[in-house]
Amino acid sequence: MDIGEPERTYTVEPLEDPVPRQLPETPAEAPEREPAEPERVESE
Amino acid sequence: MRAPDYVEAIIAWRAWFVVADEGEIRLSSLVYKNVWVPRCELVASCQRRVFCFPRLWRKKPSEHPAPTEECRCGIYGARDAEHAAAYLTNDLWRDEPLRWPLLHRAIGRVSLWGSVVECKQGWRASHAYPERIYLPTRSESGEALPQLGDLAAALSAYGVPVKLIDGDLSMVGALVVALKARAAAR
Repeated sequence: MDIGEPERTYTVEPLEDPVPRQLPETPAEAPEREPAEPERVESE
Repeated sequence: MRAPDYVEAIIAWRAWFVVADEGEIRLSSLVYKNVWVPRCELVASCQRRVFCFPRLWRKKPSEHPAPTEECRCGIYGARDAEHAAAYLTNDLWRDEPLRWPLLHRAIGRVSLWGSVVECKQGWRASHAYPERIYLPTRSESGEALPQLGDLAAALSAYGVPVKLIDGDLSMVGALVVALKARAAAR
């Protein structure tokens, strides 16, 4: 493509990402565990 | 660390091939064998090859970051739809044979960012991604394309609007009028 002679160079850092990224799949929720029984210790 | 000069991507016009790459329908650059990967920016590299001294018959890849003002590298975008549309059917300047089966041609708008060389009629950038894709409804010979709906559905993988545009690839002027009408109706 002929777009003519260069005039200047600059940097562009968009605040919004121009790429519609694939959303990460939400990880399956970890199964709720039964709270562990507190360990019994001998009282002094 | 240097602050950027601009914080919004440049929106330009360009044309693509629509190709079949390993069973997937993709956009491809017109000049070089670059397939544009959905949901991932295209990053420029200089594909010019330079003579390798003293073995001048050997050529090695150019190693500068793309684009530079001195070279012609970078991902191209045109200021005007007319300019990009003129490249839809003109294959004379293609640098190398197309690697994939050609299904159709598309025109559209492209986001450009990163390092950008501004030229009189467009830009060359280090990073690019389609912003909007238009598929003409008829081929160069004016025939309607039966698989057009399938192509449009497949190109939706890019996650940007894909629009059918009533036009004939060989009638660039009419196509541009239709493009501008669509763009104005947004």
